[in-house]
Amino acid sequence: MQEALKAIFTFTFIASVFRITTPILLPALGGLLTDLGGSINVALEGMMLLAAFTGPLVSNRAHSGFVGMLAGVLVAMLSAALLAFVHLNLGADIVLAGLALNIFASGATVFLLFKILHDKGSTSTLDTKKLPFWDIPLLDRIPGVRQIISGQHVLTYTAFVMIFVVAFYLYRTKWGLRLRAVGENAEAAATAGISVVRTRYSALILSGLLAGLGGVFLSMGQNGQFVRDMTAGRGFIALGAVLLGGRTPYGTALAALLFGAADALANQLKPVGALQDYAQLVSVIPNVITIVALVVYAQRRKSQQASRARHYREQQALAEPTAPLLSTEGD
Amino acid sequence: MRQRAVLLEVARVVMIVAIALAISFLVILVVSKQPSEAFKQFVTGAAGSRNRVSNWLVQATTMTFTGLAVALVFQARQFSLGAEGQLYLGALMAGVMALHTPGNAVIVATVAIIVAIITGFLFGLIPGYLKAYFGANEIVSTLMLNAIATAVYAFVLVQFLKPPRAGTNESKPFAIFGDTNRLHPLIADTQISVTALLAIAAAIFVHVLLYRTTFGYGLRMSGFNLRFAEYGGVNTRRTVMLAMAISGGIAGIAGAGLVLGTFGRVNAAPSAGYGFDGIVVALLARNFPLAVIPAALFYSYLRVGADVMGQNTDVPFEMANVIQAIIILLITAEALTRWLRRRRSGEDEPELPPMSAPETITSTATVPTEAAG
Amino acid sequence: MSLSPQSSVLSPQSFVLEARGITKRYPNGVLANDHVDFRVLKGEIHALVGENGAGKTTLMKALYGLEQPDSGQILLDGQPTTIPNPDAAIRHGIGMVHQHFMLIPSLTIAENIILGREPTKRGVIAEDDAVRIARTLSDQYGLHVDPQARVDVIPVGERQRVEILKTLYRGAEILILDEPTAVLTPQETNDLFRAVRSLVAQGKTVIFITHKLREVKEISDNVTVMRRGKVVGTVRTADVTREEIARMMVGREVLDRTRKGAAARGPLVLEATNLNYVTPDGKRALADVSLAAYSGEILGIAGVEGNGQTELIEVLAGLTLPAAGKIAVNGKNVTGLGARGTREAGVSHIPEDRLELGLAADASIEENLIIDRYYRAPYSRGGFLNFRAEAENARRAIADFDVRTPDAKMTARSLSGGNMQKLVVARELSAHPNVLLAAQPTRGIDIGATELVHRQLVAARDAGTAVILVSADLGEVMALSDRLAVMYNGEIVALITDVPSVTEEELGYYMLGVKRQEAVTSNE
Repeated sequence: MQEALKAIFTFTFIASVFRITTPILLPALGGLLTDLGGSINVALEGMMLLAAFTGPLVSNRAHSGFVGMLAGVLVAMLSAALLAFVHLNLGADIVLAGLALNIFASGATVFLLFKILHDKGSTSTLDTKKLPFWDIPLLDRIPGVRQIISGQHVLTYTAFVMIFVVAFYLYRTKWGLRLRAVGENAEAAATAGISVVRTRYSALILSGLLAGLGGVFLSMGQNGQFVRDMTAGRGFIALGAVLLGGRTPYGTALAALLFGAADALANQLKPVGALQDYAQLVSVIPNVITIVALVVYAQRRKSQQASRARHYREQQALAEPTAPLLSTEGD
Repeated sequence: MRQRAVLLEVARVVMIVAIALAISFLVILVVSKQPSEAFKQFVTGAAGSRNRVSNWLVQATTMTFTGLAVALVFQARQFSLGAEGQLYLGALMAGVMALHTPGNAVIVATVAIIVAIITGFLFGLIPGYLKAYFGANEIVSTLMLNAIATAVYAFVLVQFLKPPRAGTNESKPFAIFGDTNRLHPLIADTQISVTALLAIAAAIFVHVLLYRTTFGYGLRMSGFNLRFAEYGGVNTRRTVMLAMAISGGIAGIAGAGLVLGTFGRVNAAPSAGYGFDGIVVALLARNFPLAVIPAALFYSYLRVGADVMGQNTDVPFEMANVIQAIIILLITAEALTRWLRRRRSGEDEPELPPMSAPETITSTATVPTEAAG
Repeated sequence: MSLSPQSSVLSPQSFVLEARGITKRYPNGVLANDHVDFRVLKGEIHALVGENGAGKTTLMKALYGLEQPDSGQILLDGQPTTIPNPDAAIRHGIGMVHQHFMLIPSLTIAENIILGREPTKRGVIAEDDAVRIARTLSDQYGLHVDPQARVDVIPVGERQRVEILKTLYRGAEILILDEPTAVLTPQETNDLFRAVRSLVAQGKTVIFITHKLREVKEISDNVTVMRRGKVVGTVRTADVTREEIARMMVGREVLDRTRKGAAARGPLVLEATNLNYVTPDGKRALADVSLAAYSGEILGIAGVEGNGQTELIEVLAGLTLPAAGKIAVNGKNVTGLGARGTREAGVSHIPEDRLELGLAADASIEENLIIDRYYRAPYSRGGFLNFRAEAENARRAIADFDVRTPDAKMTARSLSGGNMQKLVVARELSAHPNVLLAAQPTRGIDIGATELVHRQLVAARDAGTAVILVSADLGEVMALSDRLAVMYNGEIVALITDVPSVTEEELGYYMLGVKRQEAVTSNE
């Protein structure tokens, strides 16, 4: 037990939380955009996988990690555009179409892996480029801060910057305003002259971008290789984070951190003798919390409605004595 | 009129499958150095040997269960994706029973399957209850529960079932079933067991439940028009909840069938996405329980064919996933349906069970509140 | 003063908007606009009145580009124009404030106003500019709002001002207000009127759709009256009394009265006491409603739609739990028993929207006919369906109620609107109810089906059923009812026991809130 506690309260552990959160946070921010726009994206998983696969392979050909990353993200965005087309133009159900994209991604990546490398497991035989870790000047001299904040992966920094970018996009730009309007009341947005279809297209494609970054982190972060099905349900966890975070960027980020911390804790427990077997259970604590949040959220909506009604009743009660509409009307 | 509608549906599904196969052939043509051999293996592979036929029918059995589980909830218009998790827990509990129940093989198998059904039922009851009484979105809750189920499965396996110091994460074999450690095969030298018969029975059960019982009537009416069902006096909350729970019970048998009939022990991962295969099967069957059997037979045939192709040629079996994805996309694309309908415009045609999902995670599509206090 | 339908008091030269011969027939066969001529002068407040279904909304939708007329012409400032969509209408300076607000609740007032045409600096919304725009418009037209408040916390009146500001921000010169006072308190209504006058003073033109004749008199310069898809006439408001407008709206001709004998009133069957209900969005839909329905009698409930009738029926049917009050059927308390319990007490219900509530369109005709009885013998035998009883039930219903279909195994969707309604009526009446709740039972169906439904309602009455008939069609309730209650604003404001003696005009006054009876109880 002592051992475990010691393992948890180290700078390395805290740093690992940020690292592990990265591939949850990025798709979660993408999921947030689509959810606020009114089209749930269950295909974050597949988009991540496609990007995670494409990135290392292209980096090998192009001899550039950066180009690999761009290619991975691009493929994720293209798959998102395809999903948007099938849903918005062909009228397919977005949940089923999203699941189809996941299945496709899982199959196609292994299929191509085998065709290209004759290996069905990973890209380990291939010399692929990674993306760098960054030391932050000055910060890397402060003890504590050095271990936690400095020396993280460039995409980890990107992910945390993206929280603010997404928040800015949603709340400060006209596109964000329109996105929220479409998600909340598509009919009203349409009467204000906003194209619902175009808005949802952009939300889905942007979610592809963010999920793609998350996927690239998995295969071009410290791993440096693509492993089949390496997303391991992070795309679904990301959806849970959106909900748990109350559908706001900062809440989503906190929820993603919670998921990341639970995962990191599970990782820490694995080598710790008696506790290692509980690692599996610890890692699903956030799932349980998400289900609870789902219920709380649904209940809160109900009680909000009820309290609005109550509020109105009170107002009416106040207004009634001064509302002689009918009695003075008799001719 | 009805026959014509069914024929149209069959034609539609056949056309979609044909498109999917055509696309896959094109892909094979592009990637393979031996395309004709690959085609052949893909199309005939599943029937190639006793072993493969066994494999095919065993997979079809599992997919019949998960397909039925999905079809049932889809008919109630609930988007429960929990079959995978229910399957895992059903497998786990069946395995525990097989290891620890006293008695002869028949009793043990019976107990194990019944316990798997109950486990799946209870695990399906959770999202059903949360949906019906709290309005918690079933898509997200079932996805979360799937992760929880696999974690619990792994935990119990490693913690309690795995013999100490064993190298691999699996339980002891089910000695109660004799040398093979598996359910007695119906056909010698295969793994086709009594679960295949159970799958047929399950299809008949779901068919009877949906189309012959008053409960099924209420369920289908809730799926067609929830407010109409309410208006007519159907207890829609209970109906929706039970639909999801019964679906869980059926998925639970799939898990029992896998550990008892195929693996002969509780292994690390009994299912590679059978729960999601069930969605494809249900879609192919247009949610008709009796059509689930041919749909499962067909789809598992492709699966095994792809497997054979993967082993013997340079085309990997993951081709099957690509076909699966194409089939889902084409079947759900409404525009395609409209296009087909236009071609036969002017004819009356009864609609088939509708499908749609709530649009967002926080959709308000919940079961309406009943006035009854 | 003459009120000839053709009378037009407007001079032709300065029409800012003119509709000529607008005709619109919906796919279901309803002729919503029949050669409608409508002219509006620049700078006036023009009231458009008429009963539900008179065609006002269709006309306005045509002007706002939401519907395309089958024939006819729209002229703006004398120039023929086509308005293919709302965007075009906005570009032509037409703005519309819908009856159901088109606002985004979680956004601020300023954001709602600028939505779709945001002032930006390099893509970033210039919040300050937005607030300034909102404030300037608000000051200019006397439409007081707090630009930084979120829409979901502000009162209804303020929301409406936001809607008006939205149209003004988009450059509207002609504002269409669709029943703007329906949701307002009297004080808010006064504020609105002040703002509307200020708009007109600054050169805007306002088209004001309403049911409330007091408001027509108070606010409008001219009034156009529509009835059954046609324009009855356009008159200068100052020249007519409220009563005269009401007469134009309701019309003189009455539907052919369904032949019915005198009611043989039996014992009290349904008694509702002090029913109260507040809708989820906070509207007090029922305010202490009490009523009694007797065996062998049709109790009509007249009223302009949206005055609580829908909620009353849903509460009586057990679909909605009242906030307070009690319902008894044959002396047994059925409050809170839910739909099934209420049905088992002998209450049948023909809902006002057959596709939303009354049918499962994709289920078969046979299946639609047993939703209220499938769980009972002979339809259920130990939990299993009895197909023979189901088919026999359908055969009888189809024969008795003349449902036209080649096959009862076809879906309900394959039926025409009239036959769908017959299907619903057949199911509900074949239960031989103690109480029949019939809400808008002939809406949108052809004359033949209407007559059949009317005959069946009378037959049910004669067989001892207590019928409660809600209809927006005054002719219908007057022809069928033995007693007639009028609902206004969630209350029963009048009860007429001698229906043949009452005039449409008088009913109109009650329906429009012009008059009310003192101490109404419906129990006598």
